[in-house]
This record gives sequence, C-alpha cells and structure tokens, in this order.
Amino acid sequence: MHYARPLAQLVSELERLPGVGPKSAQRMAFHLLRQPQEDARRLAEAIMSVKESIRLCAECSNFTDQELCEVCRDTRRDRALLCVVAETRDLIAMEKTGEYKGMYHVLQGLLSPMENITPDLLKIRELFPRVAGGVQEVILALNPTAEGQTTALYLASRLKPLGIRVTQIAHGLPAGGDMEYADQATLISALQWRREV
Amino acid sequence: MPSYTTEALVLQRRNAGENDRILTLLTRQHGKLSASAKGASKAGSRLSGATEPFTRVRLLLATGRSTDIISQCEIVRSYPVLRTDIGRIARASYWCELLASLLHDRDATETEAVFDLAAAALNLLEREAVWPDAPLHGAELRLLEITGYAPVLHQCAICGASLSTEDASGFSPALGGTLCHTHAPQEPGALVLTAQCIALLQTIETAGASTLCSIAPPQGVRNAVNRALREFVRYHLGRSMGSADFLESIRGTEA
Ligand SMILES: [Zn+2]
Ligand SMILES: [Zn+2]
Repeated sequence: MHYARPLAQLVSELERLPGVGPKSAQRMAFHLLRQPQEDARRLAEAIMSVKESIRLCAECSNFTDQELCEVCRDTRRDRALLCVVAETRDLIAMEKTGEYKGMYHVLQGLLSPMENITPDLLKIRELFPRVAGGVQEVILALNPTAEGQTTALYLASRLKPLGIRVTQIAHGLPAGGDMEYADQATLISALQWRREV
Repeated sequence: MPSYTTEALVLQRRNAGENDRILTLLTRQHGKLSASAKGASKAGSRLSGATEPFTRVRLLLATGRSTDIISQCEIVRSYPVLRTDIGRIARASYWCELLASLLHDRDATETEAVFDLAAAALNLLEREAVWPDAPLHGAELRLLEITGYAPVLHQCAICGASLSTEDASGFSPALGGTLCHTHAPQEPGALVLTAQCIALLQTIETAGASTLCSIAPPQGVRNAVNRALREFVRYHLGRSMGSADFLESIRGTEA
C-alpha cells in the first residue's frame, strides 16, 4: 500500500531535513495533515518568508533580514576585535556569554579538504578587506575538530604575514566537540584564555 | 550481537542524522571498514574525541546489519603535533584520504602491514622534516607497492631498458612509470622528468625515516616530483582527491 502522491511527496521532503529519518518524517506528515488549514499555512508562510527575506550581512556574512546584521549596525562595538566563527549559531553562542564586545565574521562553514570544501566555498576572501580596515586582533572561535583546526591553521597562515595578531579561543571544549553545545562558563573561559596561533 | 575488538585509525568521519557519525576506519585485523558512532555528535559524548580523523583508537565493535557499531572506544594516540601546523594537517588529510581511496572495504590482504605503515606515516608526519613531502611520498610509494600500484622507477615502462642516471627523461602515469629518453618524447601524456628527479624518486622509494626527514632537494625538483606522484595517483583513482588539491595550494605558500 502506498501513500497518496501529495502525502508521499511531503514525507520525502521532510526526510531530507537534517536529523529526520523515515519514521519521524511520516509522523510529521500525518501531524500536519490533521492540523487546521490555518496552522499549516502559517508554517508554509514562515518557510517562504525566511527564504525571501533572510540574506547574508554585507559586512560579516551573518544571517540577517537587512543589509547589515544587528551586530554590524551596533556602533558601540569594538571594531578592532574580529571574532571568526563557522556558523551563525556559533555567533549566537558567543553573544549569549555577554563577554564579547567586538565584531564577527561568519565563514558559513569549515574547510574540509577530504570533502572538497575548499577556501573558495567559504566566506574567507571577504575576511581580508575587513582585516585590512583597522582590525588589531582576529580571534578564531572554531570547533575543536579536524575541520575547525584545519580552518584555524589555514586562516592563521594567511593572516599572520599581514602583521595581524591571531588568537584562538582556548578550547576547554573536548576534542571533536561542538561550540554550540558548550555551556556559557566554558565559552567565557575559552575566550579569556585565548592564545596566539 | 557478536562483537570484536580491534585497533584502528580514524581516516574520515561524516555526520549522519542529528547525533551519529559514520567513520571510515583502517583496522589492523580487518582492513578498511565503515562503523557507526552513535551519539558521537552529542555534547559531552565519550565518543566525540575518539571519532576525529587522524586518531588511533582501540575499539569494541558490534557487528551490525549493514555497518558495525562502536560500543566502546579508547584513544591510543591523538597525534597532537599534526594539529599545530597547516602543512602537517594538510598532509595528514592527504594521507588519510589516500588510504580511504586506494584500499577496498574489508580487504584483508596485508592488512597489518598497511595499518602499521599508516600509523608509522602519521608518526613521521609529526616529525620535523627539511622537505615535509619526502616522508609523505615515502609512505605513499610504499602503500602503492602494497596495493599493487607501484610505479616503475628503474626501467623504461615501454621498452624495459634499464635507466642509467643520464638518460631518464619522462614519467607516464598511464604507462605506469618512468620512460627512457627514446620513448619519453613519443608519449603524449608523459611528464618531463629530469634524471635528478628520477634519482630522488628512487631514493624516496627505499629511504628510512631519518633520510626522508633530511632530504633537501632544490625547489624545482620538489615541484616535479610532487606533480609526478599527484598525476600518478589521480590516474589510478580516476579522480582528483580534494585533499590533494588543498595540499597543492598549501605547498604554494610554503615555497
Ligand atoms: Zn554583520
Ligand atoms: Zn624505452
């Protein structure tokens, strides 16, 4: 017995979401089916609105619904400090600590040579003109994984010849871990104990 | 579920679903295989550090239906020095991708020799070397030999004439190695390789660790040897490895 075509299509779309297996995709699809028309429409509209209004900040490549993101618009932040993160969710983790008052640069990923994720696929080129504009220290806040470390070492090898101080947050985070899951105290001390790369 | 213990090197890892990771392992007893590390992406997972590429681990694996599942894991060596330098981490990535690409799943041929070579090469990549590609190429040539892809380096791959140092002048990935001065110009796909380059390849093929770490050839010779082996591997795999392209871009900044 097969699902009716539209239902099968919804299940297969949901299955493509991260962390969603065939069983949860089925459960979600049936849940949506039982929902009032209005609820389903709100979900569909939220998805479309994100796709239509969210873009990358012209300055730091953070996700934003304006030309510049909230951090880049804030004139009170310290423009001599630039913290490089892989994803917007890492930026949010850093912001939650309330300790960091500098600027950010979101790479939108990490280098992974074995998976053909090369520097040109990330927002690396965009970093250099920013650094040339008066940044004194670049803080690398990348996951303590092989990809995070490859990216950190790559950026350090490109930035240090330009005379920029490059530091890396002291990962009290376990190797292979994820910044996003670090508790705030760990992240704060990781930031305080950053060291030169 | 039946289970078994083995020593392994983590060659590659990819995330599967929200919390799991699939690892490409090189085991000492069973060759290359894939295994699932359940929950390894979760915060504080005991498995997270042990599922990083370039890590030597001791594992308890449960035999699964499609892939085996890691039930216990202990780090034997994490090769911290590899993670301190872009050249080292790029070469370790190349080495792991080469192993993952050249070896077949669960091929038990010479599996202990391959494992020991793979681990020894990671040790060697942590050492100081005048020309860091020499230890890498040494391991690479040895792996090609074990897997049956060794390039011909002492004769002409077409006529079999033994190469004296003066007349060596070409290298053809498609024909399997060096060409004599008569045949090199006739072979359109052949790379031009000076006698000095071929002599260097021959040295690397048999040299021990301390020689590999102290070889200091001129830049032009290094470039030619890098290119010959890169083309040779590319030809045999039928594709270019991502880590080979990345390493090449790093080499450009080391010169
Ligand atoms: Zn911004
Ligand atoms: Zn010949």
